[in-house]
Amino acid sequence: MAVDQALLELAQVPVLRLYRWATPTLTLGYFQSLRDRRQHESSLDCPVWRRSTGGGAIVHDQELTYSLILPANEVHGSSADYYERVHGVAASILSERGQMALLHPVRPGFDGSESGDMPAESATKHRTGKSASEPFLCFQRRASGDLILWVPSETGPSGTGHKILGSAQRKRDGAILQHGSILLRRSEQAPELSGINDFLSPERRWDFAEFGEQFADRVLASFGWTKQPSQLSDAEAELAQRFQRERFSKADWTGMR
Amino acid sequence: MKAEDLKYLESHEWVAVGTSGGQQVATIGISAFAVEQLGDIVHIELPGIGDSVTAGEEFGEVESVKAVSSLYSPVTGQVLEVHAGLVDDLSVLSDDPYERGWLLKVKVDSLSDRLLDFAAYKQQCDSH
Repeated sequence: MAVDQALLELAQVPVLRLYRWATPTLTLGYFQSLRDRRQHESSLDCPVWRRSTGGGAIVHDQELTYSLILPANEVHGSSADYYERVHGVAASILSERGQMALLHPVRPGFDGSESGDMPAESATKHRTGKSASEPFLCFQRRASGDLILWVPSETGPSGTGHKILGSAQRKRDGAILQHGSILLRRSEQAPELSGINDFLSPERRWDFAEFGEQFADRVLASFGWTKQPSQLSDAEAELAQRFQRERFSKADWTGMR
Repeated sequence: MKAEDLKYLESHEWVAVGTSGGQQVATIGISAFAVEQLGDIVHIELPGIGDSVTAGEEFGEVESVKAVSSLYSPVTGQVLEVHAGLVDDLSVLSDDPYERGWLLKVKVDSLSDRLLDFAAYKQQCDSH
């Protein structure tokens, strides 16, 4: 996260990063309260960090984290445009293994086709401007543009929806840092959440690296960018270390609210 | 207040400067365009009464549906008043951004030299 923050301040070109965490870790959205983690017992043993991006808490375990950094002169759309672009790429990857994932609030029609109806609960939520009652975990929240995997149900005609990709942003002087998490499998630290592989037969399940590579290539292609693997510059590395030392590793940052 | 009578920063904060008790007082808010771009605002963080703000520097943060953005001050001075009821009803930011949606009142030491009039600000928004 310190690297992402340094890139938000210094990057001259768009950067896409994909990473996993060395140990199962909880990250809080910037405005969340640290004490709210007590609501989520299964992740209490995980170390906790506070992101600078908004949204709900993520248990980083059986997932891929991505960050997309756009310098101000590369921002050519709204927040929603970037969520939809990246989430649309993931939806197209899933469709190749027969899974239907749609951007909230689009729901499948009764015949399995897409339908644009907005459910009543969502229409109401968009008016209130309050998040006090929002679930603690990102993957239990629903915001416009979240990627929902629809799984056929034996009990209902339209199936059940499972959020498998959510993203959040931090803006600074016109530049954007977009963080997101792609949930690939159920985690013991968040057993209430199902991931993509939980709904695939064993032979069709994704290898994490394979999914990540396809995702990265296609996100870049969707923007018309060329892949240029790179290292941090000295200035970026130095600023990242400073952010790590002076912000992200500090108890008064993690516990700021 | 009418949008046409206000000054703006490129970063979408508006300011109206008046006089009260012989001192210059700036009322600060965020423009209708910004509120529309942000979408539903779910949290806002503002300085306290007596805090100093500096023109062009961050004075607060706002979280819309999942994007956290910094708020920048159009003036340098000291905070006289903070819109206390705002956190309980953030919808006024979109319903009435130039009156009931104000954020701060600040005793002005100096104004930013990067303020835009309505026409210039509108041009900037239209080019987005």
